Amino acid sequence: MRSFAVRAFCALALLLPALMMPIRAQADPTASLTVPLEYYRLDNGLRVVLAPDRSVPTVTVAVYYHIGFRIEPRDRTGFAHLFEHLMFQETRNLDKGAADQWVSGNGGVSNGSTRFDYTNYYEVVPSHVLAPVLWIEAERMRGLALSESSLQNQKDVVKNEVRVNILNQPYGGFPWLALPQVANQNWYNAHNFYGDLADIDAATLGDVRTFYDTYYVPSNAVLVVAGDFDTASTKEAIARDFGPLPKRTEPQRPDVSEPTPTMGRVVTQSDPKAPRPALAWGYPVPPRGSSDWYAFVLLDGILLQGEDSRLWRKLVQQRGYADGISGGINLLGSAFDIEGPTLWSAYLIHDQGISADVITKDLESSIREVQETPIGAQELARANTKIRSALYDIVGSNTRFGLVNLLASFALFDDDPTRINRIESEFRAVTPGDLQRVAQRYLTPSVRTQLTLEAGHGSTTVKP
Amino acid sequence: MKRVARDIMRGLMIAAAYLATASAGPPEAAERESPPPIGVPRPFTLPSRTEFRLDNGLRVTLVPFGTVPKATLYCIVETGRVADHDRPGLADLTVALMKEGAGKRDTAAVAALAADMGGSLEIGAGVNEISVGLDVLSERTSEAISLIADTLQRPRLPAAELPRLKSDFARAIAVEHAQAQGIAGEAFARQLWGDSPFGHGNPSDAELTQITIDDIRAFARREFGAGRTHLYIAGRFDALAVRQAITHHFGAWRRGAIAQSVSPHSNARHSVTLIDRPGAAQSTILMGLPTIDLKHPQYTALSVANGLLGGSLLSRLEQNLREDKGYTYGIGTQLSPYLGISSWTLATDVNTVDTAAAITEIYREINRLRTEPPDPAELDRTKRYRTGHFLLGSSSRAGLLTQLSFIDQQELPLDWLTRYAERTEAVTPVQVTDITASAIDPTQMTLVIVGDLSRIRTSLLSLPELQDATLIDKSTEPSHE
Repeated sequence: MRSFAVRAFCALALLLPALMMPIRAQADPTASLTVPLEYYRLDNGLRVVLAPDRSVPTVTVAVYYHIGFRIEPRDRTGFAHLFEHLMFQETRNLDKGAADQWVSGNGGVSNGSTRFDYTNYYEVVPSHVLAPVLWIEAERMRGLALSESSLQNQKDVVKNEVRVNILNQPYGGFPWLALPQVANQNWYNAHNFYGDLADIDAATLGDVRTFYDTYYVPSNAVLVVAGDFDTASTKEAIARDFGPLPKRTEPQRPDVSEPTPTMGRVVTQSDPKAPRPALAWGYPVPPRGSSDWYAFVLLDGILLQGEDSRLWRKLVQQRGYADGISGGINLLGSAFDIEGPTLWSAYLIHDQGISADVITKDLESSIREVQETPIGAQELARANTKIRSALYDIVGSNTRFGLVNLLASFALFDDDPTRINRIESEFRAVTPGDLQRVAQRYLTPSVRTQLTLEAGHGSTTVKP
Repeated sequence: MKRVARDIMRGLMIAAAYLATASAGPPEAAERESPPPIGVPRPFTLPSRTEFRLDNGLRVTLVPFGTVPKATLYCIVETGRVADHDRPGLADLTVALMKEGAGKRDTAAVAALAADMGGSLEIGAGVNEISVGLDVLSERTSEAISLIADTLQRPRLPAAELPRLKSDFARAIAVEHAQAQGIAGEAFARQLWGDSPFGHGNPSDAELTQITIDDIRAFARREFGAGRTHLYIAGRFDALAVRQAITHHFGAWRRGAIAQSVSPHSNARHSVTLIDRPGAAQSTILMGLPTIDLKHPQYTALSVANGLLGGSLLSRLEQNLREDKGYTYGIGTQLSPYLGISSWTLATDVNTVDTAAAITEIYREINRLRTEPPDPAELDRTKRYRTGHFLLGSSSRAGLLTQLSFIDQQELPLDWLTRYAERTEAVTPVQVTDITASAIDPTQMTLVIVGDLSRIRTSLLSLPELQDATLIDKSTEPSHE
């Protein structure tokens, strides 16, 4: 917790599928998922999404703030993530850790995470615990009262997080932390967002106050409540707890746009702890929500997702380079929950003695096939099926963390959480011609970054 | 969210929670507000299951559940690494090869069919089971049954794919051996369970090399059969069609030989294994011991004790080592039931300079719980956390099947699940202390520490808690590779 996750954890949420959501879905494959929801704003600008379903007595609450590590202060790398940890410390009315004590001590689960474009705090609790959880989230939004000792404690915790996930791990940060740093030009997209340990140490209570006052304001956040609750009384509780928070200016956003690369790049790094070399590629993703973007998401499914995908069949099964190939759009989440520039990445760990260029040639030949030959109807249907099946699991999950993630992302980035009910139809509108055109336009060697990780003892450490 | 899940930590690092600790209160502390009161819990009952057996012995459990149009199929065969015998790695290589085509379909056709159904075929080997899982859109449930039947009854096991899968296995082992947690886990299992399928760890290169395609085919012939297989399905499905599909696709399968489940046996003694990882930024600590089995009358009390000590982020160890001292990003303990025995284990990675101090605090917390009954309010929070977490786990297809297959493997009655909350709530502070005192004995502990020994050995060896332990010092041997 209090960390950004590694992709394995995101996958875990999908492996725990299930509960009942009021979705209408029939055997008819053209039927669409429908999540009933309500969306409004308080006078202070707080966005609110309510998605009721009373079939199981649990409720999920999430607050997403529109501040991610992408735009953290330039001299304070890792600060957005450190700040996430601090939101679990003292507030005006709660001692250090008391919020978690309330949630877990009443049978709930809570966590937080920091991503490129948001930081979130979320809980799933038995539904009779909803009222205190709403109060706690409002308290965090209005009354952070961090002590110097808690700041120091969480710096130590975060540095230990970086040690366990990066510094003492082979392939630590490969490629999720390393690839954006070498593939991007704009500092906002290209810095070490886990943080240099020196920057983490340098953080002051003054930095904390400024960041909190700037970004942790109602107009920069969305509250999502999903699951078992009474809509009318929950709206009253939200008005009571969050309504009195003063209206504050929505923060200015810097220019995070990323210039399109004009020539391909190959970057080599060394990892003294790695026993085998590894290889990753990154390609810029088309703008979020554009028609090209939908086709691109489907291309990811066709090329990279699952053991039926083209790259798996070629690189893993036919060539035997690796026991698997991983990747996707936005390694720290999904195509949906990122607003700014992101990469489509693929990566694998392979044996010594096989050159990265040979593997890259095979990657290129798989991509060339989708550029030159239209995808058949069955393969396109399969890619849509993957999306549909995953959506059902997101919507039907027992924690609903995936559901609130989509609703919050669509509210924060698009001001329209009802997008969730159009996802399937927008993907179904994509044609084989679209896929071919988008593959030709975006999957070219001239925009690709190749990151080669040399395995070796005695070589220099990979900069996280 | 959290670290990468490690086996030892899996399942217990899900929540975040801290006890309040003393801190400099803000000036208006006297007028502080509190959260509004909680309401009245709504009831929740486990969904009911239907069970039946085919004439050949195949056991079937069906659980209609949820409103999402999906179904999860999970098939468990009673075999696994226990049947490797003199071929360590055999079960693992067999399951890898089982993905390479079945019946009329080759590898690509199997993967494509699973994807068409909205899922992917997952096959895994454990010590006492091999499992096949498939999560599909509801309307494809019968086809999914057919694909699982092919996979178990008609695996192609193509010889041509074996060298590639051996290379993959060797590469994965090399990566695990480069991770401090992987090194520690293997050494710890060896100390705890000795030279058995539970303690053996990964096969060596030589052991992998000697496995032949004939070994694998013989394993599949010998170990697979309806009489030792249990198929579970949870989700939304057409119950009649599913029953017909099961009878059609599994009815003609041979019964096969009777399964032999194996319990681990431990000769572990109080020991400290030190493994050098020069330059390591942290020390990886694993410690634990074999302990009482699931059917012991105080097992629930020990589960609660474990929860209070290190079973959630609300726990004492997490509060102390993380939230107070800042020694670690996380620390967790786990009680793992096997057949007839359990293990209690603790896992953490601590900043190198804090290694000895962390061990001292760990022992302090264990000994405190062994001697002082916990405050009832703290105990209540732990119990509510555990019952809430249990209900959350019961409200997913995968979670339900995990719980149902667990009670079947342990031969427990259904009320082990339905009365979980009742049993948990009945645990008293004195029971927690008593069972901790007898079941978590620090003088019987096995410890493995992987770290930069040049910086930690001296301080570790002077710890009073470790004076009676047998020292196994591997500082002069490179750990692997």
